[in-house]
Amino acid sequence: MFYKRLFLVTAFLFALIPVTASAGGTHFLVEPYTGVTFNAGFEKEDAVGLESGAFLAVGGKLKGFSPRFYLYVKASQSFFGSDDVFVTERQSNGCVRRSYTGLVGGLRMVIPLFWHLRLNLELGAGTMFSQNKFTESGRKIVEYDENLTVVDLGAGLNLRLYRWLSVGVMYDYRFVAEDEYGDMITTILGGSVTDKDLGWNALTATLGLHF
Amino acid sequence: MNKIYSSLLVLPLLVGMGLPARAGIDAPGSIHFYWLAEEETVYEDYPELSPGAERFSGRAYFNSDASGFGSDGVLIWGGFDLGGPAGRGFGVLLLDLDLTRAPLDGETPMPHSAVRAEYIETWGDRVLFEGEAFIGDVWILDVLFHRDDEGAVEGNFAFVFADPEGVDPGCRVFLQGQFITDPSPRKLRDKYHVPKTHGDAAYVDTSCGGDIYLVDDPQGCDCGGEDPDVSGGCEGDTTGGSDCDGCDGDAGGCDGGSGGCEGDVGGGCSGGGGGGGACAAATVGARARGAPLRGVMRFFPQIVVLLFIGAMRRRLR
Repeated sequence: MFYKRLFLVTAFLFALIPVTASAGGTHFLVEPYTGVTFNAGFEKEDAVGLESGAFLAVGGKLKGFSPRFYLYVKASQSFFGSDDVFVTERQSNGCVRRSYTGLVGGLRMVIPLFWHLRLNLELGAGTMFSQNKFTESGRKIVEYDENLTVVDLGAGLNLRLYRWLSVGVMYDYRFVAEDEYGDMITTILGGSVTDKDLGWNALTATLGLHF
Repeated sequence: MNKIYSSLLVLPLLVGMGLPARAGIDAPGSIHFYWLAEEETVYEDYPELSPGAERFSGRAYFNSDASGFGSDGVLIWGGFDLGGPAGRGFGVLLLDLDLTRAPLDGETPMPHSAVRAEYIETWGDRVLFEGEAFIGDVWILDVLFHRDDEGAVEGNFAFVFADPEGVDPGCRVFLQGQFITDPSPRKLRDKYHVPKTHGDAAYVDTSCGGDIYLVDDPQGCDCGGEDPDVSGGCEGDTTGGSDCDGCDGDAGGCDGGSGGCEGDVGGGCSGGGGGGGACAAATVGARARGAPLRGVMRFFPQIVVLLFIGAMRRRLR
């Protein structure tokens, strides 16, 4: 009985979609998003961060060409909280706190797959403002802010529920696009890192508002 | 209405991409020095090195963003293992330097007001020794500033650290100390084709317009003045009324010095002479020049965005 009801409700919701989503095109998109983020390259740290942000875009469809193109600006904030690290070489307890504010601009390509499902591909670049703090045995050792130039690659799926609304998931990989000889906190912890290693992965859920 | 939307979208991009990068150094490196631990007394002058003195090396990190002097300063974290017959220990040397006020002749020490130094010795979560500089000097041999974080610095140092509150008795002595980034200033000078001339700093800009470099005026501002203290380099420095920032700071450093200007030994560093009283100031506020397309390249993303918005608006009509 329950499954029958569930099936009917689901079928009803899906039946609504084609009617509403096929009504005309939109050119603007505001897409709040939130999810988890992981850093790559900081070999001594394994914190999982929370990322939230907003994606603003303008674009549309070109004549005779199926994919849509949007120019976007994405503002994000990631918090990694307190990551406790045991420093083996001096048997002490360290604590790393990092957070990032990103501002990235670029191009999103929206490729219709089937039904109302679309594939999003993103390529962007911008800046990430990082805030870093390291304490050891309860004593503040270093604290610094840093600007990083980054390239942002993204891929995800998007379901256009209504003309004005879509939901989706996005995977983003952001890497440093400037020469970096190292990271101060990583060196203090006894590790090493270069620009080739530094990156951030983010898996987020999106809510798109189209107009 | 669309115009308003477009403006709202473009604004953050224009603002974001026009942000200036901070200048400075962000690089690993190394420190090397002779180290002595005195458990009872505090040396008021640098002690003589014993013939069998052990030379220590440690890893270091140089970061302008972490400096209390701003983006043209540098905070040096130097860490080294003190493992030995006396027991385990890990020493951390924190040096914060205002590089804009560093005489770059390798002989004149930095003004003391441009140097902050701290030393902590720990094992586990226990602090074994903690001290501030009782006497000390830093000599900068070479420095390259960079528009991003690719600068480099090399210098020498000598310090006696003691606990100002007297909780930890004794002192820790660093003699013939050296610090250098990796890559070194010499390596970066080769990379950017910036020649080294006596007493100059270089500001390197490698933005979109291509490799541009500007070597500061090697003349700097000659502060003149005479220093009767040949060994100290600071005491009695008559700065001759010049409006040179580097020399103003020099005088300030001597006034506030807690004995650091007296008997500047330098422990065999290449610095330590310090006579003459003249300094060549590093004027870091460099003017970029070169590459005619630099202006266009700088605003290239903004131009692309505006063209795209313009095209979209035509389509919407």
